[in-house]
Amino acid sequence: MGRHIVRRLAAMIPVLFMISVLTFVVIQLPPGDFVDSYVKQQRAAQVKISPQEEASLRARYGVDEPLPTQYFRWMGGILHGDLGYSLALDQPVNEIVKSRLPYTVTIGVLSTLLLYAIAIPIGILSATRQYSKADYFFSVFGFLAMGVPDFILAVLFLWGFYKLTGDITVGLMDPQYVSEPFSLAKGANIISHLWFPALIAASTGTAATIRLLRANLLDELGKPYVTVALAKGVPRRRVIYKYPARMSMNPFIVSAAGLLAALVSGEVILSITLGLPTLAPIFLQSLKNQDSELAGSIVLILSALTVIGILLSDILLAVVDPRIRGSV
Amino acid sequence: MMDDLPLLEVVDLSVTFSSREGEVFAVDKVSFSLFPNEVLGVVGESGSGKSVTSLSILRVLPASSRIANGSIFFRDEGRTIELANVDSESEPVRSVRGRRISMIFQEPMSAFSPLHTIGNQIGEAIALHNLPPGLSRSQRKLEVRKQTIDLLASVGMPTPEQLIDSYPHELSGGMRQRALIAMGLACHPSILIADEPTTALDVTLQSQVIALLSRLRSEQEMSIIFITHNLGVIAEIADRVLVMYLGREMETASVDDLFHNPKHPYTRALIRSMPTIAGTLDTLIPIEGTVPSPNNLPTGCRFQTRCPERVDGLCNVHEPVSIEIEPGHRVACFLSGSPVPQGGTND
Ligand SMILES: Nc1ncnc2c1ncn2[C@@H]1O[C@H](COP(=O)(O)OP(=O)(O)OP(=O)(O)O)[C@@H](O)[C@H]1O
Ligand SMILES: [Mg+2]
Repeated sequence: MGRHIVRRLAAMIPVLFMISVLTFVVIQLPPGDFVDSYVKQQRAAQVKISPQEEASLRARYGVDEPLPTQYFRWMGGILHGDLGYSLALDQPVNEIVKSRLPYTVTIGVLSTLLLYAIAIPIGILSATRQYSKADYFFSVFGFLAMGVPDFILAVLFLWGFYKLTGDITVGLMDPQYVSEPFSLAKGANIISHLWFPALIAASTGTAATIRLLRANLLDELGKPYVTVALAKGVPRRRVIYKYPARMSMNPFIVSAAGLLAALVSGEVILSITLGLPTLAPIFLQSLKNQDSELAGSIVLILSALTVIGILLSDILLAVVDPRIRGSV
Repeated sequence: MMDDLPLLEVVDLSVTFSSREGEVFAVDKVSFSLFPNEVLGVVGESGSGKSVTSLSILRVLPASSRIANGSIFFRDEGRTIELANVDSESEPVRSVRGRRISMIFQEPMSAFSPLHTIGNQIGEAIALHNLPPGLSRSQRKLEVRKQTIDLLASVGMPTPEQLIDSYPHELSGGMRQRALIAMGLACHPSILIADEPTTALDVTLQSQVIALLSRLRSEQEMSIIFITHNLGVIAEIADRVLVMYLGREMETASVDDLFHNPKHPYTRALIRSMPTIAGTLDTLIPIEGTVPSPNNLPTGCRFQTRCPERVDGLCNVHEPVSIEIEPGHRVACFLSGSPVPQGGTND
């Protein structure tokens, strides 16, 4: 098992390398570069930029250097823990990531937890009481949650929030915590502010997970080992939790890996609507601006999170399933 | 043996599955009895309702099915318990299921959860039903483990102390089958239902398992309902035999009568089609045709489409009911005297 993990970690390195090259190339693919789009924006805003100024910008930002040179400069920095510089925001990428990643991760983890906390009991209920009133209720509810886009839910939420508090900014924490050092109370306060955005972020996934769990569990409930356990005289409820419910969890352990990354890309509109300082809106902006080092760094971080997530879910799967444990 | 009261009496049992075409009868008005310390063989081709009948007795039918009719009486510890017309989670059922009546299932691979050790799955039944009162938690654990190891040894597992902690996929087919038998025997039931416990095994293992069940039956005063496709196995182990076809009982007889004086054309066809009974290969005659679908049953007798002795205008019009032609020998066939209904068609 230990050797297996080391091997998997080693295999991550070339994968991340290829992802970084790809991102860097893809970002540069559209015609023009950062300076072009910057100059265009400035001109649109009636700011005069002379060709000399433009040329000096090009020289300063090194956008005319060959792509490999730009890439290796950026990569060289990353190996020393420096993610580069955001031309558009005029800030080191490290600082941007440091201030925004925690919110992204908080919302991501919070909505993942909410997703499972809601989906697992409802999925089990729907499957064990197939075609009951509760099953129909949650099916309708689930299709609604899947069908209504997140930003509509976000707008509805904002409206409700405004009606209740008269305030339009949701905010990340109560004012008294803003300048305080991080503490448990501050963390709890942030969570109490973010749980609803997290719920919205999780809504589509929750509904999908309920459907999937229900289908998996219905499948498992018909398996002979369930009948066998019942025939032993084990009470039905205990049978369900011990055997088929546990079996039907395996696909979720697998899918949990990509969840965080999926949440970040799904978060864009939600964060913009609610004005949350997460990575998602910045990511969108950096792609529009061809702000390569910022965009590349974000993609790299998300990829690393995904790859680590896959590794973790593999390990977890081996822990819960003896058939897999034997084969690694 | 026949003078005793039956341990188990199944009367007019019908089980239906709901499907798109409506309710389909998987078991249709089947009656039989099981006496103390008796082995009742149940034979019939695939789909004849053998497994569904067993699942009804334990009340562990699939969600899409229900007992539509009939009663099941179980005499135990001086009282009679009715099992068919109560809730499947009610106290009488719970007091019997897995404790007084237990079952060995058809497929050893899928009958075990792949995520739990066999010791865990066998011990579960022991912990539920077979522990002396007043033990502490750790004593209970030790006792369950000890009983499980003894049980595995009693079904001929070579190294039970090690095998108890293995997962189903780590065992060979034969060992898994033994583990399954051990699970059925965990609580010294008064009735063991063995649903094709030997089908997945090679011939040598098959006869070992049969010898094992015969031994346990005499040692533990246990009655067995032994379900199989294999009449050779029936000849070896059964005292009486129930022959089923498409959810109906065709013939019930002592094992001697069944082989030497079979009355129903279906029974005779089954016997002719068994290689071990027919002797040489030239005399082996497979049953013509295939079993009709239960969604689309033939009119009249269910076997009439394949019956070499069919009487047109009778067998394909009316359905024969089971009658007792001599003590302990029941047949459902017009040729053996099932009454012909007067006027109109039978249902
Ligand atoms: N889960 C199910 N859903 C729908 N129909 C079923 C189900 N299980 C059994 N049946 C139906 O019930 C009938 C009897 O099936 P059963 O399993 O009792 O047959 P069997 O005699 O045990 O056959 P085999 O020898 O193949 O085990 C079959 O016609 C089958 O179609
Ligand atoms: Mg069967």
